Amino acid sequence: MNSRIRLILWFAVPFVLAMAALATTRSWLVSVKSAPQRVVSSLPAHNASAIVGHTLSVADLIEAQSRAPIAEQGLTVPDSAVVILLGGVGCSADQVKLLRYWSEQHAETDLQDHPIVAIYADPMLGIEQGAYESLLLRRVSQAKFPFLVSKDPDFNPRAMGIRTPQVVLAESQVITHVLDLPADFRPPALQ
Amino acid sequence: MNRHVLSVLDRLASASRLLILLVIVVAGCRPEEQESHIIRSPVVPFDELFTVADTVRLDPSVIIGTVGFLDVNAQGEFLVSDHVGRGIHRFSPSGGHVRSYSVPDCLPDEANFIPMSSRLLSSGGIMTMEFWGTTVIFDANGNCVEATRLLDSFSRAFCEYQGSIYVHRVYVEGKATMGVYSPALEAIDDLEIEPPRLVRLNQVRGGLWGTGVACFADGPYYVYLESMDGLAARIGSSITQYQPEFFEIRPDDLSKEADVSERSMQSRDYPLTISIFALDESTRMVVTAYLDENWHIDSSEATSSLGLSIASNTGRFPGRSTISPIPPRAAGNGYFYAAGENEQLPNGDVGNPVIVRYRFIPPEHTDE
Repeated sequence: MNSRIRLILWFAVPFVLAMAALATTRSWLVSVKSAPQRVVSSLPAHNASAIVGHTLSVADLIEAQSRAPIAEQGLTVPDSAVVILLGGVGCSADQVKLLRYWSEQHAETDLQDHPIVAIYADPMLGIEQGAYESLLLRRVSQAKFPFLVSKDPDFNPRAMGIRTPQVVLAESQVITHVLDLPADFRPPALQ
Repeated sequence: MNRHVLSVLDRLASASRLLILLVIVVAGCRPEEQESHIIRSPVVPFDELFTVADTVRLDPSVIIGTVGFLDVNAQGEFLVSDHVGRGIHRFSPSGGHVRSYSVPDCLPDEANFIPMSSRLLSSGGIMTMEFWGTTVIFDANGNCVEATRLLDSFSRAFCEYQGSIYVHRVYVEGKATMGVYSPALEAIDDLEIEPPRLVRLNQVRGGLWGTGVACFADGPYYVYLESMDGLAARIGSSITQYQPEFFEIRPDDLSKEADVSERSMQSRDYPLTISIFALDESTRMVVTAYLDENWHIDSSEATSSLGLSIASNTGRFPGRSTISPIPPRAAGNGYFYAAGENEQLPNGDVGNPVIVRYRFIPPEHTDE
């Protein structure tokens, strides 16, 4: 009797465990794809704390459309601002969705008193490409805040392993906080 | 005596039948091999093979971020998959907006859907796919009629042939196959195809999104990164392989010991075949990037000089190749289509990109 039970356990337990593992994997795959969208979550911004303390120098910023220094355009980075950091479109998560969120729902956030600025910071792509992609993102998102491009070769979130977009709080042109991203922001599937 | 002869003949007949049966069985079990022969494809000037036909302005009322993937049908309609705006838009041959398709309207929890590849179907509908994920079919009236959150775990490109969907898969291990699906997204068959010669190379890079397979009158053709020409998925299709002058055969796979970034660097040491397009029902165009600098146009960057190799599946004309400064995004009806510059709007803002059509000029047979 004991040997029969042992025999059953010998075959049945691994089989049941294997089936359970398969079912769990499958349900995880399905749940990952079908999880309901959450607009804001407490997901920590991956790796992004490395940019805290960086100064967004006005001298290194140009306006995307005119390609002119922002000082010449009568623009500046406000003393306390929400800054949306953008990067290579092909390498990023849904930047348009994030821009739309801050454009349309800014008033409903705790940061409604802080002006918003979008800064394209991806020196690997160059100024011209950065300006071009900024204009595309502005057009598609229809966001109304200023779109700037960083000329600072040392401000390179992508090279620092930081995925764009990121949303930060800048006080006196210094990045002081990294704000959380919605949970379902993810880059395109890699091929 | 006669009885003995008859008996021997009977035995011989039985043995013959057995032998024939054995030959049939062995032949049937042996996988059919495509014995291809290789022909050099000389490089000719771009304007000897292509000429600009016209420029199509897409309806400016539709805001397009980028032409991420482009498809064209026999009627000349365009289907634009916008990877920035995440929209799918159908345009008439003259650029008029026909219809836009929304996957989240069909699957509300797929708000992040990226239309990596969308193609116009012969039924009048469309199919859109996010590789390794959601696939949706819309009918001719724009209604969402079929949807699945995971059609094929390893999909990398698809095309339609005789009403079925052929899905080219990333090679994982073991058999290389192409999935065949009905218009209702039911799995019909797994078509065995040639595996890649360089497995690690194809794991590191994937070519141009969604363009690794194209369907012709004689079936689907596909490419791997090390391919010198398109490979026919169906036995009996064209087996002549053309080797363009700019194509160098990569002798070995990427180093097993190298890390991902090193492999990525190594992958550019030789030309990479990134796309195959159907210029028409029997003319294939294979696109190769990372050409040797001797082939670069002027002193432009490696990625802006592409090798195009054009061949007929039916031997209608001799194979020719050229260097193109323009990356093709779609093909059909004897043209290839490229995304041109973005229009400049009166307020200085950028508008939609224009679509530029290049007409193919078939080479003539000469004594070679």
